[in-house]
Amino acid sequence: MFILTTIQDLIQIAPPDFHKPSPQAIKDAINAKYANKVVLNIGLCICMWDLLSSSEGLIGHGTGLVNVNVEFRIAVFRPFRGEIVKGRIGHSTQEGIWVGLNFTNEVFVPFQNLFENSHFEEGERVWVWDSEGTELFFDKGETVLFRVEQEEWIDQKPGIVQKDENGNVIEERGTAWRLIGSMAQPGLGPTLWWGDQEEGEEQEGGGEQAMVGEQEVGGELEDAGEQGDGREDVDEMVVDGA
Amino acid sequence: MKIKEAQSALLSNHELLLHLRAEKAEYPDKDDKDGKDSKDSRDGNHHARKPPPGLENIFKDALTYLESQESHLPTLIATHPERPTTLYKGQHSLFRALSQKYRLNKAEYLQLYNLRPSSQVQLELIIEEAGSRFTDEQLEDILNEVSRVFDEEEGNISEGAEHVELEKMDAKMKGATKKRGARRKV
Repeated sequence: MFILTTIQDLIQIAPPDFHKPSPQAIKDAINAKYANKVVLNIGLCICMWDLLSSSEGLIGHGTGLVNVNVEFRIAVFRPFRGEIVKGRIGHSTQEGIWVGLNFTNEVFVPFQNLFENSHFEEGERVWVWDSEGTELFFDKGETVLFRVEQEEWIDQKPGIVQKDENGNVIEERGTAWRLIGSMAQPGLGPTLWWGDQEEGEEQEGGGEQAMVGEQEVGGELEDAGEQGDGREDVDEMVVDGA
Repeated sequence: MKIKEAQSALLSNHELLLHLRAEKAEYPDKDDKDGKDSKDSRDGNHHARKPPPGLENIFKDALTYLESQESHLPTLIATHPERPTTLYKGQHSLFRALSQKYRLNKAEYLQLYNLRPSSQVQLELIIEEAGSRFTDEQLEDILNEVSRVFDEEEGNISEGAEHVELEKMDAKMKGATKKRGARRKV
């Protein structure tokens, strides 16, 4: 769910912060710039983890700002594909369910990714899973487990002008990053459902799960598998050479 | 801004929670009006230090998420108050407990730490193709090992266990990789 990213950057410390000892001033400046912000193709930055190196402070012409070259590691929220994450149902619409994680609400589970036989209850505005006659509700505020399927990056840099269908410029900036999740495997969805009666449920969903697993094995967990893959390649090469 | 390494390491939720708590302690507590906050929460000149706004939100929201009722992390911290790294390093870590017997990959270990599965349904979510890789008894055994490692009282772990150099066993980390190749050949 969380990773560390190494970043090199030029950080500016304003004169009001000069009374702080340097490490504190640098840390505050880094956190002010990054904490709680999405960096494109990196993820949602949480907070500075540690400072790896920093240069002397340099003051340029015209301003009193101290410029410091720093290299630091930052904790970033960036779940990988296939990861199981806990969240809470925010609200539901015809299109699917929005899941919140307290610090981000940009997780969307489209209805195609819900259990089969799910339908939207217009009156109560909740999704309902019809599991062999039993109606199970995706209630608002329920703690759920979902599986990360893909992520969407939307570049929100200032120069880009977004237009709607009629050609009007959209002023409001949306999110830069959205996670697409799924809840269609036994164990996913509200944690309440999967409390104790595991025995029966397990068999019912067994086939489906195997199928889903099969399809996704290829692209999944690239990072984690990398080490092993590399090693195997080396082995093969040696054999070939001999 | 230059990204030197997009992913230098993976973090477990537990590690992040510990870090956030430590960071938060550096700043004075807002509710603590009588100024009795610790010395660390003040800067060099004894001014109260205020967290940057973005960080303040993170403290509020991320800590709520990590410490939420359903989360196992508060108990985990309670059982390992002084030396949380014993969970990750040394003879008493989850990795040492499981890698002897089972081939799991890094992502699976990470999720074992984050979700702490307590039922087989949950475990099968975390472990890819659990049904074909492990038997029911093995899955049951993994669950038992997980709860044994997490519930182990810190007091029972010998001093410095997390710093002892142990033999590397990374070959066991291959996990599903090998199996995948084998199937392709068929």
